[in-house]
Amino acid sequence: MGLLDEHNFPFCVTAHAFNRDKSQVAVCPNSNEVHIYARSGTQWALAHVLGEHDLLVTSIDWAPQTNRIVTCSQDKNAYVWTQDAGGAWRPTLVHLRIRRAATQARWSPREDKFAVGSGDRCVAVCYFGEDNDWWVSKHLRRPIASTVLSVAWHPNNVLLACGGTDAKARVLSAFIKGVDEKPAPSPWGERLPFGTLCGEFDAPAGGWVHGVAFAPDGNALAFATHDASLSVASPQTASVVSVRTPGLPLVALSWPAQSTIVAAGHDCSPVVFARDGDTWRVARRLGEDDQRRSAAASPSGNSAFNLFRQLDSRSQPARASGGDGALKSVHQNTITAVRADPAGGSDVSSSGLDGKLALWSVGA
Amino acid sequence: MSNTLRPYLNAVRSTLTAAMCLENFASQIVEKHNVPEVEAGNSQEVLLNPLVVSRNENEQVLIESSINSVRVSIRIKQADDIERILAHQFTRFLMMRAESFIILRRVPIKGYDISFLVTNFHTEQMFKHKLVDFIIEFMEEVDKEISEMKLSLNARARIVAESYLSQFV
Repeated sequence: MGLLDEHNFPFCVTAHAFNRDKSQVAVCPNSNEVHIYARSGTQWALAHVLGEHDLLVTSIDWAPQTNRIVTCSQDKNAYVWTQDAGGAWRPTLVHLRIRRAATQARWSPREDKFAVGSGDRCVAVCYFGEDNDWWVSKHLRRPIASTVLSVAWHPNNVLLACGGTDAKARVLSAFIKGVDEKPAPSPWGERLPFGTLCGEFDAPAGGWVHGVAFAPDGNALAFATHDASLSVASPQTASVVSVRTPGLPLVALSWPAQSTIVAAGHDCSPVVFARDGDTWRVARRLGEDDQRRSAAASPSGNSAFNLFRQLDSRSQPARASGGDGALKSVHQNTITAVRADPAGGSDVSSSGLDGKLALWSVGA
Repeated sequence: MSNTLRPYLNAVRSTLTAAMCLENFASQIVEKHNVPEVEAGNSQEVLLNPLVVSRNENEQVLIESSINSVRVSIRIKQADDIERILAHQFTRFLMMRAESFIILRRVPIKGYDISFLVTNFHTEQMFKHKLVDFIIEFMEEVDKEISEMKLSLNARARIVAESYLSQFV
């Protein structure tokens, strides 16, 4: 378990998405553009700039099999980008019909639909309408009461989890007639017409739901809330198991293997949670035991000595940062996105407001 | 004196660190707008509970947080009239130059002497722990500054009075 690769971009990375073999990455440099970088040796070289949006691009998702990119932005628009024969990316219009900013867009597992959460208190589920050659949307409205911050698909391509500022994580059915076949019965429900509420959960101390993710087999839902806890809800036992972390809130999470959840947030380092029978516990934090980083924080190597000397002479309490203000962790500012390996492995990638894009191996 | 200051500043530091977990949030009320929610105050669900950390009834810090912004208001200790005038002049000087301070608010919240507004754009450009360090240092320094100013004011007044009255002796 540990850091595999890291790269520093000279801008805040708002969102990132890898293609299937991780040879290209699409990032949003905290602006209205999307930059696609291609790997060249150990560095990333800028390959394309996708500039169709007017305001900040809030989310990017790259479908691994069909090689399409969906981007959504605070200007109430979403575009689906396809690569033409010459290698350039062309946008296709999405008739989103939302009246406020879009917050997150995710392709479904079968890549024939995608969901866009928005500040219009709805999730727009979009599918391709052949007659007009554009993507049309159906809205999931009730009972969402406030901005949707994050969406996640169930492996059966029909169920959708969403969480937002109304402090609830919900599982809704996004079954589209004509695109989906009837799903197999699951612990979440049997007959699932569009818009059915299959589950509604909240965290022990309340708090906005920042990230949601289904288990790889789909039988549980994990969500990270602003009370710095990670909760796992399972419909079979109708229970919600919560793990309170002692740090700052977690904002993004990924569930790469059945017993491993990786979450990251304002504490600037990813936390790995491991299953402990029926409950979950914090297994370790990634990137903080890096030898060269802790050596850099105290050049003389005697960090305890320096600590007490500072406390004695200057009555300064212990500082979390080193002499130059750098944090001990790999990321230097909030991690805003944790993405799973598009090829299905157990690696995760994280990107944050410090401009760093890091790849971690989590093991299983 | 320092015994009560350290726990007070530590409490403010941990509250600020927790309150400064901000993210970019587009307005739910008006399309294509992005406002600090703690200032707009329109959507109740994105505001957090305000918290007051007080050392005594004269020194308090009010921390109001939301999903994309934090407002920190400080009430400075003002024991007598001279200190009240000095604190007022000092904070007025700072607030008139709020643009160079970036995170300073031009008008303090009612009941407090000076207010800071930190938005998610500030935490994207600057380190969060450094912002918290800055506010804590500011709280320590402002007390020192006002005491220094009062001492030099009294010293000057004494010198002036002595030199004036000496001609009558």
